[in-house]
Amino acid sequence: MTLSADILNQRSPYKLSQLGEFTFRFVTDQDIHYTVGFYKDTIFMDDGAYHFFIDNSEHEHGSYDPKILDVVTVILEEFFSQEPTVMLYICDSTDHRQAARDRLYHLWFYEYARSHEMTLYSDSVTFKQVNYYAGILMRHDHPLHDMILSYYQDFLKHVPQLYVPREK
Amino acid sequence: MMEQNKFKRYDSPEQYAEAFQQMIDAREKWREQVREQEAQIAQ
Repeated sequence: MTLSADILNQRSPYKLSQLGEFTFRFVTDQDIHYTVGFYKDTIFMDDGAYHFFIDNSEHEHGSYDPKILDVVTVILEEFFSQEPTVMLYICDSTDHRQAARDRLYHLWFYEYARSHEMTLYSDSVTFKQVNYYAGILMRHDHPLHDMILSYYQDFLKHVPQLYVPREK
Repeated sequence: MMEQNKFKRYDSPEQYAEAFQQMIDAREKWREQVREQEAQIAQ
């Protein structure tokens, strides 16, 4: 996989600066600094899976800024346009806003993504008395789609002592 | 079953729990690295 700020900036509403191979930073109109990108997974699959993250180091919550979702859309569309890849995420729980973050993934998926071409599955997992939201995204035409989804669901079911299925 | 070899295998609840803990730790480690990179740029 290759992600280049030069290519992403052709469509991104905020200028992305490349921090690392798959990591970028940008500054919003409200002067909030974000880092966004991926790191390679080595825990769920041997190859082809990446963890997505988006973070602002000051934990600032500005007013709603649709351009941030547009930036995420540009990055994820580029990510999924390349070889078959799997995106994983675990929502940050340090400020107890993990459920809201998971809802943002679903909002993005249904409002911005080509959801008819993709699968989003997420679940809540109670692990060591903390409620986490973990999810997976991939294209329908991933050659191992059904197997990956089944393994991921199985993985999450085996993690906690107390398994709490997500309410549909 | 070549495809199944693409997945990490865990054989016990403890191993699954350890794997999930590693996922959480990896995320925190990555976040720290990115913040260090940002701090270096800001200097």
